[in-house]
Amino acid sequence: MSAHETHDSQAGLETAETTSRRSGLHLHGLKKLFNEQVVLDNLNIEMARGELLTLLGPSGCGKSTTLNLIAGFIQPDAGRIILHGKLANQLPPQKRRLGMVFQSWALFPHMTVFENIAYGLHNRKLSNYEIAGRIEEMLRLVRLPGTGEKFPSQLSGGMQQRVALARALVTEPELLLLDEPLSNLDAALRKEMEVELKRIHNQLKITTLLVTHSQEEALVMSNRVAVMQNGRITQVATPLEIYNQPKTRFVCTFLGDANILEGVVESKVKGVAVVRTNNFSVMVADDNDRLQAGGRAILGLRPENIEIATTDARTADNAIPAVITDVIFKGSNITYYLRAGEQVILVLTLPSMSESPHSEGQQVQLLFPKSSPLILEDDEEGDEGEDV
Amino acid sequence: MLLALRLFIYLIVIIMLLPIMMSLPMALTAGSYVTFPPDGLSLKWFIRMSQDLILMETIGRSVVLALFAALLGVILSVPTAFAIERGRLAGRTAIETLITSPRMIPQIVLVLALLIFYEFIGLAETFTGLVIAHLLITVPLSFRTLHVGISSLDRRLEWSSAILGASTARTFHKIIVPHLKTFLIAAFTFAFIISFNNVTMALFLSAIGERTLPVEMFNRMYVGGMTPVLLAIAFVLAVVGAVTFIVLDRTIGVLKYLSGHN
Amino acid sequence: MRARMSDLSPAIDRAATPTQELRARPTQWGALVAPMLVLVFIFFVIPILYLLRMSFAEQAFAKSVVPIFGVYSLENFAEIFGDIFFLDMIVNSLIVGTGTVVATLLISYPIAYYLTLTRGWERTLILVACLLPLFVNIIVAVLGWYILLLPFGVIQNMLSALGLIDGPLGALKSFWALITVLTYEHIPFAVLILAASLQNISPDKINMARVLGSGVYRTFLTIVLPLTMPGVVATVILVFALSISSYLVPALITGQQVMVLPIAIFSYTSYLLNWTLAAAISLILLVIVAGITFGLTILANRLTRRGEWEIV
Repeated sequence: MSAHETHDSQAGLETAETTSRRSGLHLHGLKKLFNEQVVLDNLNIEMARGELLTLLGPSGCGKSTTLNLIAGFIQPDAGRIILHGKLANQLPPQKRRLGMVFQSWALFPHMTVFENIAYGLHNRKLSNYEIAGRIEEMLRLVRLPGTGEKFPSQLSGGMQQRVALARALVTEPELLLLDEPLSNLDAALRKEMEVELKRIHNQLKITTLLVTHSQEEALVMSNRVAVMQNGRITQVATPLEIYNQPKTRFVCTFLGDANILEGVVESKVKGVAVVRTNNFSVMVADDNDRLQAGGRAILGLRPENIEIATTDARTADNAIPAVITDVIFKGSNITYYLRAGEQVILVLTLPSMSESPHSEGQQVQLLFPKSSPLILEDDEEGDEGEDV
Repeated sequence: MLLALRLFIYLIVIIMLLPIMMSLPMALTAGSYVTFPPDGLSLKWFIRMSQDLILMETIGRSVVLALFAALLGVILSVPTAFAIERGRLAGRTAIETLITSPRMIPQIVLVLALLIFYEFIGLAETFTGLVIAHLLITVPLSFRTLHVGISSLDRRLEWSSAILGASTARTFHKIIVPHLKTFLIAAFTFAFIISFNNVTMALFLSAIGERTLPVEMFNRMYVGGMTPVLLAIAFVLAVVGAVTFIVLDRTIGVLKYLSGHN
Repeated sequence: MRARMSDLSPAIDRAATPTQELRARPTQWGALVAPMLVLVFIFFVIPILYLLRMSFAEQAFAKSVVPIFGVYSLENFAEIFGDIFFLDMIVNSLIVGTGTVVATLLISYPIAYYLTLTRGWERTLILVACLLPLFVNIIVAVLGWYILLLPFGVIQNMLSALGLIDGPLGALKSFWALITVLTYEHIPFAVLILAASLQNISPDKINMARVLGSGVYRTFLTIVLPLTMPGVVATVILVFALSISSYLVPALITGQQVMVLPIAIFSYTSYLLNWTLAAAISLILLVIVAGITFGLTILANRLTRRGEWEIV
């Protein structure tokens, strides 16, 4: 699944090209400016065949621009777009053989569901019988059998979205582009469609590039997640890796909640560092030697990795005294807001039937092992962004 | 492909501007007839125009007529638009259709009907009759403009004002009128323009000695053919029209208004 | 977007809103509408009805009262449909109307399309140029065109004096002149309607068609045109109605060379003083306009299956 090998300088150009031909998409050094502002800056992406890669980022990070460049609606200022092994920069959208679903779905309101889905098949020289067959198959795939003669305005939002998907898939594209396809759905429908999309992807094994700002979509559906910020890719990894091993402060806070602790490395002995913040000290395991004594450190601590203890009986690598300022019951979890000195900390616990929850004003100890804090880089730091 | 389109568009733009601009060089001719190219340059026809008392009189009449028609039109339209929008009258659509229907039939048919009717009730060839005729064709537009204005009023602003203690009159004065100001100006101006530029109605319904400007021009051309004086007037009218357009766009964004939902 | 009073039940909004106007009963609202309705009724409905009555009357000298319950007769229509002169006129009007509509559409559609592509000063320039006929008096435009077409007129007379051409060519040139000026006058209406219509098509849909493999032509035929069809139909109806009803342009540009219905109406009203016949001709004009309006609307709806779907 990992395509990093292709960037290994020891692999010859030949290997790189063969891999390109095998994968559906290769973006090389892509750059785009709008009104003098750099929207994309040296973007490199290579997708493995059949994978679902998510471009995850906040609005304005350039992810939709990337999709528009791949589709061919706009031209890059520099860089190469390689589709199906061939350079595609000069190809107009209608020749790129892609499948795409827009955020707005863009269904043709004056055509029936059947006609919408069949639209992309017009130049395939298929008989009417074959076309009808394919459409039926698609409708079954997206679980909308028998809706062929309806018009989009007669369908619900969820159904329209599935028609849009069917329309994109019926042409059997080698690359599927999804631009925030679930944003227009309400919360419940969205969760349902996340699973649906994952199922369809697993079944068809179609190379898919998904663009979204929702971390949940990214974690649920992707084989790999690429976090984008300011036109660059900050980190790319599997959902599990990117959640448990975020590289920067931004990635850490963008995916899931995190307590960010900043301080100075007081000491570093045998792979264990002690970081002193303004309010307390934290013991951090640093096997990869990322922290230096005397240097700055930024640590991320996930709320679910902290334990609240009311007595001194428990011991752990880290035991920070704090007072509970707020208790918020959210149904599937309880969120505690605490203060340790000036620092606000969040802790997430699962509600339990036997223990009574802690209450406001209570003085407690926050416990976590030295392996819990994540060592993060600051954003804006050094490198040119990662290659996907 | 796009280049061809651009060329076409610019060609059309030139053709659209051409007739209106044509009048100027011809009106500046020093000769006595309309020729192309003009026979020397002189401002004498413009001067001749300003000395033409009959012409000046018709301009005045046109302006007064338009003022009456536009003012009365707005005065009639405001309460009507309010009633349609706020009141729970039966047959609102029918009333709206009725008000706008004078514009939906060919103007020449309308004017014939009015002419015959006026003959029998004694309004033929009167100023009043002409005002009423112009009212009929301008009211649809001023009504629709004001209707848009009134339906875009946010009721919650009025309610806030009332809750804060303002009387109905004060609310009307401080909340409703400022919002409607633009629409009132737009309605008045459009009505004025339609009335001032109108030829067909004035042609049939005005008395021989009491012509409006467009009718006077029409008559002179129909009877005597083209003369440089006519072109001088035409040019002045062209400039006035263009300036009105630009001023309207600057003040009330008429381009946006006309070109729809922007 | 705005709070809709009509959505709330009357009881609730009567209780919730303190302003006096809502406590007014329908009769008070009625009083506000009354003046307008009276105006329209007396000076529009009645005159039109009377005009209709007159068209079905025996021919009478102008200014004589035709009683409402007098004699009804089809005399006028018999004269119209029996005379090739009138039938020619009807055909001329239809040709002029159709020609104007076609020319206006062919010019205005690309302009409206281009307007969706540009912004800023270019867009303003094009809009001003195309909307100018709305603000500048029609006489100015007609005078201008008269000058422009004069060379053609002169050429035409010259050729015919030299015996090189016959009448028909002369008439044809007049048709073109008429259609040209009428198109000029009606481009603003068409551009406004079509630009609004085109603006309403979301670019996403166009892009989607491209991704699905459609080139420019197919996208236009299968997506853009059907979605702008209501606008096109509205334009056709409006321009047709306005152009065949135009009196000024035929009167000043072609004079007696191309006889169209409005000219006949004018002649019979002002010179020949046969108001009943004029009324009959007006009725025919009305019927043509109404017929085109209904016919086209129904046809277009059928073609695009409108009524079964909505914009989504």
